[in-house]
Amino acid sequence: MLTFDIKTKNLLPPHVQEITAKADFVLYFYNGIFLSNESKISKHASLTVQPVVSTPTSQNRRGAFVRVAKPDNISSKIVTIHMYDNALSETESLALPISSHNTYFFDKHSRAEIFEAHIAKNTIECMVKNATDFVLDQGAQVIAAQVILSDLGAIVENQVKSQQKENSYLQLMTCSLGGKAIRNDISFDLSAQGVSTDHISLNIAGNSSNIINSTVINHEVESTKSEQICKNIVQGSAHIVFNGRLIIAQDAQKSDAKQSVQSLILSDSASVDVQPQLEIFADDVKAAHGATVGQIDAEELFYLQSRGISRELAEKMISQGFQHELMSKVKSPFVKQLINSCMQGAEL
Amino acid sequence: MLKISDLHVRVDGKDVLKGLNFNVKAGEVHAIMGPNGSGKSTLSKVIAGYPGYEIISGSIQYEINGNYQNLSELEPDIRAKEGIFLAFQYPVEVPGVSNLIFLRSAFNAICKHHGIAEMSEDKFTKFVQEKAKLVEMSDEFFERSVNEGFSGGEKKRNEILQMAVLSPRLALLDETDSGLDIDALKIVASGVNKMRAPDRAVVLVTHYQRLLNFIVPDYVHVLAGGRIVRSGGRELAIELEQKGYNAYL
Repeated sequence: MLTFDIKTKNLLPPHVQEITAKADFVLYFYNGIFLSNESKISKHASLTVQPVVSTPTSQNRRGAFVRVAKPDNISSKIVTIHMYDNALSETESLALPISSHNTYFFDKHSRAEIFEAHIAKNTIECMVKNATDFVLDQGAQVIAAQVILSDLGAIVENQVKSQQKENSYLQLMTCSLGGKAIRNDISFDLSAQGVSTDHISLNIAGNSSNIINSTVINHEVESTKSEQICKNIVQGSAHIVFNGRLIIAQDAQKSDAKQSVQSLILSDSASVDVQPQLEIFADDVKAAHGATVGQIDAEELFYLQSRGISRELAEKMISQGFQHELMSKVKSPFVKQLINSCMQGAEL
Repeated sequence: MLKISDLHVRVDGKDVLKGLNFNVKAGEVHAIMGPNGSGKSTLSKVIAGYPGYEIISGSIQYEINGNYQNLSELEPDIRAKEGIFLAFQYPVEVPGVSNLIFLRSAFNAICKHHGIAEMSEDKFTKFVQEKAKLVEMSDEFFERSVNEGFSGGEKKRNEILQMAVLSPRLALLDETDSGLDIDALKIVASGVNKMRAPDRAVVLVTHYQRLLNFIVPDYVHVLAGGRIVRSGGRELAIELEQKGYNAYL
């Protein structure tokens, strides 16, 4: 039996525990091990939430299995938090990647707010592999966020997939903060009419971090809608890559797709590579995209300084202002609060 | 409080101020008038520490704790902390930063510099609400991003609100009257007038005499060709209004 105290481990960003008190379900994992005492699992008529732990077939695939059934007037709040450090290294080899797999099913017309976090702290040569699936049945409405908060000792490979049925809506914010390397492969399948998907991507890299995002938004049928907005903030000698593929298939007439990628470079040795990639095979569609790369505006900086704000704080305020547009789009105050508290816990 | 001697300033390779002399004492209100391109805005911005303005020669001395200090050695935020305030001709929009957080960060930074305890969030909000009445600004401005989506008049009022909150010793108002209709002008002027105090100096930079009907200056100066070429009292502004700047070009 693993003895574990979240507070003394000090892996969680401030306030996360208080905020998750409002959740219906909270699942905690530590180096891939489910923490039953810390988690909150209650019986609920319309929800199945269970940890997937070392069964013979899922030895290396631990994580949350969530099924939100029945239309419910109340939106279910579900939190999955994976924490990683090197505490097990003496007894168990961490040279192998710690793997997790989280699956979220949403039945017809169900509603949910999902927050998933991967927090790697005090790590040395730690490797984390995660896969997360969102499967939405007809008319399901889901607001979700996945935050990866990592120190420079960890490499995180993360794969996110969504599948959506008719008239369902998914808003997913993916947020990568720090890390020796974080690689996100994110794909959205818009394969039924009336499907709408919003992807909000925030990537903040400092020191010598590397964040790579490879996203695919695939409009396969007509009358599907997507909006992708990505912001990158890079400082130190960090590097961020964003490859955003947007595919509108020949059959996907009347589709509406927007993509915007904005990057803010805060130091001379930091860099970004941004590659929007639009592949449009249908002729009656709306598709807009734009990409900008910039530095802190000198006029804004002087304006704040001229009011007594130090250069350092002014830069921080401007860069937080840059993120603000994304945060204001998150449609669940609960999810937003958790994202905010993870950002406060980020040492960038 | 402020002593500028033989100041030469170069902007983008061009000499803009060419041997300017200008002195301000506490309690005084000065108006600096002059034709377009004479260096009026450059003067106020160089005092506030605008980056990229190169001081070729001469000095700007400012009194801090009874001693005169060379301003060019101080970062813009330190100048502000020591009581210099520039109301911008074109107030800058800062997306995503709420007006209230901006004001509070500035206010607290100045308090901290002087070893004064910071104000609590609630107390500060009440304090700002009180000051906002001076320029007839409603609470809804507090949560909006700094100057973003503000009309020209709202931006200028926001400048005066900041001035009222930060309570500077030397206020530089750069073309605060430009783009204001007569009602907004009266609001802004009354905000400035309420801040006139024996320990505070105000420098108004303006094209037009109109503002000076509402904020009556003690001294009027004509800035032309990068130098102050004539100084006088209130009557000089009226003369300029009638005769224009041609005599100084």
